[in-house]
Amino acid sequence: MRCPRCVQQIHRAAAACPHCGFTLADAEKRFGDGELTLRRLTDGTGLFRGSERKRVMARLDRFGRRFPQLFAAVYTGSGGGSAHLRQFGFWLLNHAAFEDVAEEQSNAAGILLVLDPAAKAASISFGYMLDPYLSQRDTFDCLARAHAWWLEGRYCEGVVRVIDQLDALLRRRSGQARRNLGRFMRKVRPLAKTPDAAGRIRIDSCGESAVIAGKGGTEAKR
Amino acid sequence: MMTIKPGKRALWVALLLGATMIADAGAGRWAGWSPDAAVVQDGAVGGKTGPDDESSDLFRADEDGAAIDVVTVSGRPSEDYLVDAGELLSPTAAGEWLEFLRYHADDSMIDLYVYVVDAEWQMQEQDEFGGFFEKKDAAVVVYPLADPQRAAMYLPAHLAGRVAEAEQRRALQSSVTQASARADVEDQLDAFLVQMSIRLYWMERMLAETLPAVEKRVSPPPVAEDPIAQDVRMPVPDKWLPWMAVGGFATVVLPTAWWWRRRNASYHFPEIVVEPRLGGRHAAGVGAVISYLSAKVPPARQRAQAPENPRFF
Repeated sequence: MRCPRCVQQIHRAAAACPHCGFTLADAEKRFGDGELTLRRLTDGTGLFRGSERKRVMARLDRFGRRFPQLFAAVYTGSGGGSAHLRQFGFWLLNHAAFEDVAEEQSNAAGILLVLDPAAKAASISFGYMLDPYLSQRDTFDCLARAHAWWLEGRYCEGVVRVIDQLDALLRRRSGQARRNLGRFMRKVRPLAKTPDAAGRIRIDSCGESAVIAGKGGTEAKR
Repeated sequence: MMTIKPGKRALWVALLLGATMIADAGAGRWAGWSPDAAVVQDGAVGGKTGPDDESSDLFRADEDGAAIDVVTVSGRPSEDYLVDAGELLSPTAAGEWLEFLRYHADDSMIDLYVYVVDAEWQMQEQDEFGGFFEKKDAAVVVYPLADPQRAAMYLPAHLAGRVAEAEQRRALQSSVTQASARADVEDQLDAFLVQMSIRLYWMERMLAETLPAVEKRVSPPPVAEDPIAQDVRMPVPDKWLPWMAVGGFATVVLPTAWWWRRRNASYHFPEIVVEPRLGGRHAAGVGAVISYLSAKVPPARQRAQAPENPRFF
């Protein structure tokens, strides 16, 4: 788990980034704090033709049928450049109200693909429900499928491939979770906060030990 | 004499086959040409015959011995593909040609039997010739040494009736032309045999479309009238039919059903409680950012991990 601003690894329940102090409030200062009404496919920059929109929507619908708990959404527009794209995705998924998603379905079950054609960059953000099942590496693999298409300006093809790859990946993860749920629970289990001899808190996270804070200090290292 | 070993002859045959496919213009090619060569069909002399053959006996020696009975010239119908009863050819050359004709017989469905006679030989009306070859898929050539213009070819009835007469004539005439282009006697025979072998190959291809009998060598031998064998053969389909149906069902239907079920399956995730972080109510999962600015840089190197502002470090 990384901070959307400084891209440093953070612990799983950090109220603010221990490195840069980032929180959602910082993103709200940049992008606004109002609620935004969107559809699952919001083509803010007009990248898709009518037939392409239908094609992408068909893929999003199929994704919804395959994974009834989840929904996928695509947003094209300016995310403030590639440096801010993570923050934008993080902010959008927390602020957007998707009008074509069932009311009982929270954004915590969403996966959002943000495509910024001006900055020629794309990112994926996902809700808490998928936190145990998706890693940054997984999202990179999905985006990499679209790289060649987006280079040629074939945005629809690229988006379709990202969704297909997500589809395949999550099917696999679903099977793995059914067989060995403990593997995924370990990623998000409550933190064991045990002070060490120096009074600092040592966190055991997925086999990695990290000292995140000492008494009165801000020492942070992996 | 240009001597070509049997192995190389096969190569020559292949090359000449290709050349013939391109160069042969079809039936009209020899339309204005009238050699002395003769085509003998089913015991009847066809085509243009030799100059003195109007009422002669082709395959029976005449009284002065000028004509040769090719069937009995060696005392019995010869099983060999090359008969040189008069020992007109050198033993070495005869051996090579015999080897070539055997190679041709192995490779082709129409065997080629060649009787080498001397230049004095005259074509005569035949009455004995058909007996030995009647049931064979074979072409018989009588080749007067040093006078290829008077060569004659015989086809048994079951082949002659199915190969166009023009094609038969063309086969002989093109072979004669090849031979006539050579000066040396043995070169002439060599060219004649190679060309005849090629033409028989084409004849064989024509026959393959119309004559099942010619394919008998590649088709399975007829099943003997053995009642036990028939009993064994007939019940097999009935016996295995249910199993075949089950096998077909398992091969086609089950994978289709599996595919259909998988296509329409829905997948669920166990819901695991995750503590909110960074103040996000619904999400804080930050995935990768990828840039697609340059086609020369692979996606892995355009994986933007840059922070917003380096001053944080």
